[in-house]
Amino acid sequence: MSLQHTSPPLSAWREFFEKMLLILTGLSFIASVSFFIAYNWNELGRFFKFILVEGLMLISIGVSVYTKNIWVSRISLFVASFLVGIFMALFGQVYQTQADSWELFFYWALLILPWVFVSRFIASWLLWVGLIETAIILYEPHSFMFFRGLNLFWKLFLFNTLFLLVWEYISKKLDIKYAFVVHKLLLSFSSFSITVLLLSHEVFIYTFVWVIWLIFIYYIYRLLSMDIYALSVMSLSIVVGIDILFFRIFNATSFDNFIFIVLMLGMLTLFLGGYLSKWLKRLAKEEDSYATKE
Amino acid sequence: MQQKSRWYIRVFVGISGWISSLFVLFLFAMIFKGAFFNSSVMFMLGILLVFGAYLMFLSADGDFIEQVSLANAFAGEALMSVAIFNMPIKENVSFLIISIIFAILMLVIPYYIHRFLSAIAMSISFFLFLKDSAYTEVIFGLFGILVFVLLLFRDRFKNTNMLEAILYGLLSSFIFINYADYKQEIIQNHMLIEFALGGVVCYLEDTC
Repeated sequence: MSLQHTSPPLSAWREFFEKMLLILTGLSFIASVSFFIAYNWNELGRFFKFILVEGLMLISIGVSVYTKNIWVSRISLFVASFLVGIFMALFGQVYQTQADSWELFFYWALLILPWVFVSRFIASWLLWVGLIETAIILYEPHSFMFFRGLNLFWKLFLFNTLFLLVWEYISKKLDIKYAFVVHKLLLSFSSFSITVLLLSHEVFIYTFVWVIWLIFIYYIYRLLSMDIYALSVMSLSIVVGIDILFFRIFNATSFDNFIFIVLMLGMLTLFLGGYLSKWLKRLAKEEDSYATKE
Repeated sequence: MQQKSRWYIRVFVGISGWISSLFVLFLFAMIFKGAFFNSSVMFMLGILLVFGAYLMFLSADGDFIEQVSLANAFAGEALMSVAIFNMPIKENVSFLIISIIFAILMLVIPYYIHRFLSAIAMSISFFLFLKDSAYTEVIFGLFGILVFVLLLFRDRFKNTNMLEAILYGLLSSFIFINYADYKQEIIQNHMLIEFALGGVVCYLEDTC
């Protein structure tokens, strides 16, 4: 559209405002339910609170099933997914289950997973990823040996990379290519956490894992398939990672000439950044020309 | 003049340019140790770096030159901003001057990422200049609506690329300002609307 220098037609505008208003209605509805319960906590009885949330959940599911409008259906299911969380939080507050806080988010994500698949809606997937990430961040294992005492970024890296592998597998088996944003988020979290880990004390172990991760990303997203987003994330990790490692090496050897280190790192970043951006642009061009031929 | 590439490649170029500019700054700080205590020398050095970057942008014919010029421009702008802060003037006047400088650079330097980041810097410094004023929320609320309308109709303007970079920058800065200022309860009511509008624009553009 921008190439043709034209604006969208009237029907597209109407559709756009309809979708926007529906999304805002859904979000406002969720906010109003949670605030209503929170503000009237002492005035409302526990059964009324449960009946209210469960009733609204059933109504949302009913609307989602019986409506003919696909967007109303998706947003109703999204609202129902949110209400599951409100219900679980309510249950935890009323009966004081003493459960760890990560459990709420993990079981919430687990319970709404079938709805997320059914709704085929990006916002539902974003909610799901947000819940899983929150559960990972809050997860403090007590008994599971391997995960005991893990730092936050290591935990994020392990889980996100694992999820990425699972996602790659299931997205090929099932038709969920439309939820590309999940793949992008998992990749970004995985890359960010392993690059930050290079700053920690156990630099040798993490450097080894980082190199393996880079090879893995290159193999999957360049040799087996072509994903320029993944390669951009990888490139950024290379630039930042190499800077961190070089800085640590020179700092550790107490190199006298600090100006020389900074000059070298500056040049290295410029050359690497320039080379990698050229490579990425070339790949994008190749992909575009291939798509045009198709 | 550079061709518009995919947004994630632009993000990569922008971040690596930023890191390089930090090293350039470090280098200048160490070479001209004395100059860093003198605001006017620092300001002049900043202007020289930005002017050099501008000349390189005009003749930019490769990715390496693009990186160098981006790093120089960022470093020069940082030097100028610090120099202005060191000058014996009121803090909010410093923010106004910085905002004007970034507005000029945003229009003059013909580079998408630079325009986008300059728009963010300009908007945030202008907000900090207006912070104590009673009309801040009204002004930024109106700006938000204007930016959104212009974004929707950007293809009707002659220089779409330039307008798009500036408007995306302004929209991002509004979101950032709302977050940063959340505790002070200024313009936080616009947060949800702007998030929704930003999301919708992204959705329409299919860039997210």
